[in-house]
Amino acid sequence: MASGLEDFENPSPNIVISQEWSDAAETIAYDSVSSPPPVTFVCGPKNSGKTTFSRHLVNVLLQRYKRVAYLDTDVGQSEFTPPGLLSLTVIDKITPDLTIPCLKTPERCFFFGDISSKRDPTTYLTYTYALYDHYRKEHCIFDNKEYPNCAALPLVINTPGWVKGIGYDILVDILKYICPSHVVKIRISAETKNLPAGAFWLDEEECCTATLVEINSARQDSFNRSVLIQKDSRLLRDLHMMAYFRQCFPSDMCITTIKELAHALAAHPPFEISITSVKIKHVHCQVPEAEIFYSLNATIVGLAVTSEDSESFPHCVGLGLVRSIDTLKGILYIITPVPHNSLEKVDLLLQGYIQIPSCLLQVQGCISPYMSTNVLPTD
Amino acid sequence: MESFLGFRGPAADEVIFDQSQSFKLVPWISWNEWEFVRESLFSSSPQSVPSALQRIATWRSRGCLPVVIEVTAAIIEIQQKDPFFRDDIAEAADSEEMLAMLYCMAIMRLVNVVIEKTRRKTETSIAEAANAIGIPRMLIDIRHEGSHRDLPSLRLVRLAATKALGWLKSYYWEPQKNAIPNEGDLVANLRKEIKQRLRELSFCLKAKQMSRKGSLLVKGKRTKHLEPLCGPNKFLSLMAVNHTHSKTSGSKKHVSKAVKNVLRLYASFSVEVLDVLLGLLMKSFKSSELVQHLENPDDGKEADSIQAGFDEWKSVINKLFNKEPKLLWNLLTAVLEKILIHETGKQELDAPILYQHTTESPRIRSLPFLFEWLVQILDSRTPAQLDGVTVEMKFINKYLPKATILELLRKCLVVCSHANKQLAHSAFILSRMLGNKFLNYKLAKLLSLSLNIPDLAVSTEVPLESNFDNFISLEKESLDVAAKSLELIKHGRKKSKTMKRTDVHAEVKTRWAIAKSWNPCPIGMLPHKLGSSGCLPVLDCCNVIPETSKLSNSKNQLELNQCLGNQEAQRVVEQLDYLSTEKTRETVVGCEVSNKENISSQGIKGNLLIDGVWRRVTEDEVIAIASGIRILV
Repeated sequence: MASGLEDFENPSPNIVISQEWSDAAETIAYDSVSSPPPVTFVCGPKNSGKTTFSRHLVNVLLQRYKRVAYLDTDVGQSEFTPPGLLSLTVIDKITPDLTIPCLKTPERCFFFGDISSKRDPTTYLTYTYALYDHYRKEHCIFDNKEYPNCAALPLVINTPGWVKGIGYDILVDILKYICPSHVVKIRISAETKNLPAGAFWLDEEECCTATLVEINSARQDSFNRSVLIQKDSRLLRDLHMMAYFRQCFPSDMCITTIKELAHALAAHPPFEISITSVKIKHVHCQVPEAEIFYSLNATIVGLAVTSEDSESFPHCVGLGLVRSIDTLKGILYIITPVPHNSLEKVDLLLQGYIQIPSCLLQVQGCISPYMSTNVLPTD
Repeated sequence: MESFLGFRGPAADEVIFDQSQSFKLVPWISWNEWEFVRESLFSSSPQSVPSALQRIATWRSRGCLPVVIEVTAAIIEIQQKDPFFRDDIAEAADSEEMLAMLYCMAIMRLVNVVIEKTRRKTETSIAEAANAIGIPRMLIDIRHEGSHRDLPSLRLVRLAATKALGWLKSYYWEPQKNAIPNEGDLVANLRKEIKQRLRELSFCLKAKQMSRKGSLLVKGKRTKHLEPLCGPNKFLSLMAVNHTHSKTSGSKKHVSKAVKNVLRLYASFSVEVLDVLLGLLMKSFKSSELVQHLENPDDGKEADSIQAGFDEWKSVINKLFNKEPKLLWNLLTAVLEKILIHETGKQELDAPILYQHTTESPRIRSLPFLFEWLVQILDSRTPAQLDGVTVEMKFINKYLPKATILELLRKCLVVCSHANKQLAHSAFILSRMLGNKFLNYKLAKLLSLSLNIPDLAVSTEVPLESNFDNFISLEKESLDVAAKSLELIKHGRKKSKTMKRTDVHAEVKTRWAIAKSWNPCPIGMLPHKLGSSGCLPVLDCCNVIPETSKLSNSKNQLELNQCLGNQEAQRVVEQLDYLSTEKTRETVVGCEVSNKENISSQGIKGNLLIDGVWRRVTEDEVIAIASGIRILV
């Protein structure tokens, strides 16, 4: 299900992997032959190159292992999924281009419904733990009875760049829970923005079982100062979301511009689902019951499956766009690239604060009513 | 307001709906909704305030709520808790300190958040920045006190909150209210613009024609009809309107530009464009000719001359059809709908419709002629039979899908039941375009019953049998159909009952289905029958919504609802109900005919006995049933 709007054949021209970085990746991948595969935790401040290093590491690991598990906890700039999701993905192919993200269907995924963990750290941690547990259960046991031929997979954990305050606490909590074999800490030259030195997540008397790999951010100027590549994260998210919904259409269909995508979406026959056969829930705030549809119309929802096991959380099969609601007929119209057979299990629509890219709403000829003119510029 | 459409005047070349307009994502679906909230929020009656607060809470869940609205709602919600503002609350639920804390927090957020957004980097202090946008000084002090010193007293923050509301009104709510474009003006401007663009196109095409042929006086027949409309006066006024580009207006560039303008409008406001175009067409229709025609209905040539009035627009329609074939289809549908609405209105008065001379406006009576004229255009655009059927089918598939024509034919037949020659003829042309000989034949028979149309009979290869036999067979057919659909429903019910017992998961299988037909429309709107402008959904949660509501369109169907939950049976019923959500008409061609002949008993008109219940059926349903029967046979 790999998809992207560009050509994958070009190896990434703008990305230079420094010697330090490739050494670090090699060390992790070929550390000790006999021990279980490495579980690597990649952390560091914003724009320091965590994601790029993770991608590189995955590629290096894929030279030794057939498959690599990837736990993505960066809900704002997720790698293989659209934003707002926490996911565990199994990768079996090297991605030569490190510049652009490509979408993959995760093995397991939860809808967090926001682009930062700050709104609900507890749920965020719970989901992260649940995904790690899933990895332990499915991919970490040496002789897995269900898949006897399946060797244990290495795991790469990518984290958000929020390393101060609550963000720091969350990182520490995840590190304590997972106990990775390697921690990659990327440092930038602005020392105050870095994570504390050493094995910061351990309490004083604990001894460190993990190999700590400290590396500098990839780009430096002549004075050894980090050159941070500022990303327009909002734009990236929008592009990610558009690439996701691009998958509703066959890849040979000619959709290259945003405008074409917006028109195609407006004309795309949506899925119909009876309002009574799904539950609707907002994961972050209370919606007055009588006004659910005012809240839901033209928003992006997580398509989730309530698990029979009351202990576990509803897992998410993908995102959908509630393109309109017919309350008279009692039907929701939803656009989603999720295939029909996975959809049938979906019985829960999770609403969050994941915003639909506004450029999809304001293309000439199909301007959504939620795009308004004459709005006073108050903020 | 005007700048919303950018419509500056008739000669303006500017694109009205250009991208320079800045759009902003808002949580409300229309300004009406916003206005409702504003009114209830500041209303003096305490009952309406909670509804506004509730809606704002809903907006918040969409994630793009302007912060000024959020703060306003917060302050008003706190006031609702404060017995000082409420006669009906004797004692506060919260302690005074709690209330003070709430007020204080709301005020701090107001100051910080609003200033954050407006403060320029050069302005150093918050007080300066606040001064720049007129926030009362008292609010700044409370922010300071509340953050760094003692919690301000309840009396103080209560007063400050009232001031804060006053400021919010003057800073956001009032100016925003004044900035909302007046909808009436908008619509009027829009229609004006559409009319202008259409005229422009017509003018361009005419100019092109003139320059090609050297003079307006082409064929004698045409000029005769064009003259009264495009005579010197009108022509001059058009010239005046278009004076800026009159010299070159015939050029290809201008034509294509004019076409583009119209289509751009059509893309966003299809309903309005169709309506205006229809209006223009009806205007060009000559009532005197119609009167003549009605007095002398057998004179075939007169119909042509009536329609010649429309010919002024022929090139326009052709041009638009080239670029956007759907427009013509939608225009045809719009014509039928207009007739239908008019007729259903008239029917209650029990007057015969289109031939009533006295009260009918001639424009309404022109509609069938218009329809026929449009169908003829459509027909003329299908390539000649020379290249064989395949080419024609290709053409049809490209420009008008078969289903579209069939749909049109259905609607046409529904409307046509009142013995209208033009519509009947159009229906016949449509069926011919479908290239289905069997259908052709049947239609010819059917039409020959209700109207005496000799040319139809001639044009069919199969000779017509006696009318009476036809009635009988039609009647029989519909009875058979009723019996069979009854069986089908019974069968379905039985089947689903047994299925329910054995297989619980059977229902789950079809919960998600892809919509069968879908008209493009903006995200957040429901598709509109005509074109791509879409219509706003009703979002109120009206004790939603048993699956049955789909079925219970009329009281007659209550009994049928028993089979609810039995998906199998439901589906059968749905098939019958398939089109009944659209405006239904009680009459069925077949049944009506039989009434005239007095064969069947009273009370059957428009109804079929299905499953022991008299149900209203529409033409569409009968056609659907008939096709079902054909499969069975």
